[in-house]
Amino acid sequence: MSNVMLTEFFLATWQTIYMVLASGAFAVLFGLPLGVILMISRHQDILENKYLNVILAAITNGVRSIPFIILLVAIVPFTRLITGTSIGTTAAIVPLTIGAIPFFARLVESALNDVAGGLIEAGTSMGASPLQTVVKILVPEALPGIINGITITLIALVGYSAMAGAVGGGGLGDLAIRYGYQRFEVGIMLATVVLLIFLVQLIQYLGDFLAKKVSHK
Amino acid sequence: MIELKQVEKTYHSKAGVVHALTNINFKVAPGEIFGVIGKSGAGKSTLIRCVNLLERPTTGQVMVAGQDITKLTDRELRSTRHQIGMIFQHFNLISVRTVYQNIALPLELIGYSKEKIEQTVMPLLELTGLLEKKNQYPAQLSGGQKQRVAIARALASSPKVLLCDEATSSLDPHTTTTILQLLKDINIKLGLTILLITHEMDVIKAICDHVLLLDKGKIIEQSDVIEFFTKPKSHLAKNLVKTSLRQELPIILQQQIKPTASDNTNALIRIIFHGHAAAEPFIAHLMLELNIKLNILQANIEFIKNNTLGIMVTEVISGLENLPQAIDYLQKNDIEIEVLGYVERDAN
Ligand SMILES: Nc1ncnc2c1ncn2[C@@H]1O[C@H](COP(=O)(O)OP(=O)(O)OP(=O)(O)O)[C@@H](O)[C@H]1O
Ligand SMILES: [Mg+2]
Repeated sequence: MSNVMLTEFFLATWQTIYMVLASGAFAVLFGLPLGVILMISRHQDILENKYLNVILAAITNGVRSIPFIILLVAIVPFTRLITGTSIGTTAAIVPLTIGAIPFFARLVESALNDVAGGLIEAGTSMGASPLQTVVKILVPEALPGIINGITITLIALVGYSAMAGAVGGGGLGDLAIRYGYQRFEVGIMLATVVLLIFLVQLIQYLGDFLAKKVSHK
Repeated sequence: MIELKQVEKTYHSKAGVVHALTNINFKVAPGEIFGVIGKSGAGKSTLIRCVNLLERPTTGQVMVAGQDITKLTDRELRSTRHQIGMIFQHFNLISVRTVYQNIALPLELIGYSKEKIEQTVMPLLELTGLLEKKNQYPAQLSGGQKQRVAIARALASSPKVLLCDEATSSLDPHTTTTILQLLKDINIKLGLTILLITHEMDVIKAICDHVLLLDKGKIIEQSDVIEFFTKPKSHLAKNLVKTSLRQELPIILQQQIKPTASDNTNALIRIIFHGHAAAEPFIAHLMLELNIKLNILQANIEFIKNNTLGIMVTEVISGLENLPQAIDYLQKNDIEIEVLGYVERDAN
């Protein structure tokens, strides 16, 4: 492999990691509260609010049902508003984040739903306020599930980030398509695929390790 | 300490209307252990959950320490709930918190400082015998230990009242006894009022001062525990007591017993004595003064609320004609007597 090739390889790897981690971090930042609100607005013992729940659920499902490649293009004006540009790696982070927020929020909601109803009840009987129930009971108890959700989201983002090439985002997926698919350089394609597999395995391993560490079941 | 007035609870579900509680009125005095017993579906859980408003009654008042808590705002209700501890059948401990942290939780909710939390939690660990388990997680504990943690947690905010929803129902008999012992202990040491619900008469027998029998959402009977065991009024209570005190006759006698007397039969009588009456030498009195000869077929002593309760089934060998005087004498001494039927002489 030539030196130029190697540099491209490193660059692409870095771009993938950068896109996945940055959009993953933003997805957690916004998706966690969204997931919490989705869950507690449905739950009569905490903060039931049917209208809020229906509206948020509709938005969440709406965004989730848009194919990512379309989302990527559709929100270009919004991307430009935020990053000042609509092409490049940083610009790709915006649609990746938008796509990942509802995905992660649903995973959070489901992790919170798995917390035994008895625990919420015990909290209520101790005089916990809704906020205290969320902060002291729900989220800590659901933390292993939430970490699993982060793992799944990051892995999904590795997949989505392959499409970032469409807006000049670069990354390993883009490299594989440009060299492997368009120029028939099977070796390079294989190498990127191996690297992607390795990346996914690493995320899964770290996620499982952390989830196990915080779980005491 | 607790009083429910005209409480009703109705659920509207797809399957129709369920009257889970109707016309519930009762009072729990300060410092007593008040037991609610009933079959599955009787409405016990609904009832106890109404006391801290985990479930809001459809109508009626719930008085705790003198105030109607159904009228409180959310904020007031939360601070009142610090006064009402609760433990559950399935413990409901936080799995990611250690024993210490679980007990500290209600204090964190109130906003105590770290030092104050430690000052409160340590004695509770000691009281519940959990000092060594302080840094373990719930998954590492046995059922009995988990319930101890739950009890300590419920006591952390120094409540006036402790609610127990089937607290021993998922424990084995030995562990049940130790948990009941602990409840009795804290009832005495802390003067805590306890309202518990159970479907087991043994729990009532072991620690309760007062009993309320619930069936299909209605109060069937409520009385002092001794009275409940010695003079049950309703059919349901009679059956419960009979089974609980093992008053069933041996099968061989059940087969022989006849409802009416004839020439060659002896009466079978059951005598129930309790409290001071246990000290009365009544058998000697019956034999010597009234010439009644008894043959004891079955005898059983129970301890209920520090009282001895004796149950004896005897066959009257002779002197049946003096039975009315005997009944008179026994009743004067607070001894219950009941003619069960008649068996043939020498049948046994
Ligand atoms: N949320 C609910 N919606 C509809 N019906 C309910 C609800 N909760 C309880 N019920 C009904 O109310 C009745 C009383 O239930 P409850 O749980 O209080 O009984 P229980 O005496 O505690 O029984 P168990 O010993 O089985 O726990 C039952 O018929 C039950 O089906
Ligand atoms: Mg129940």
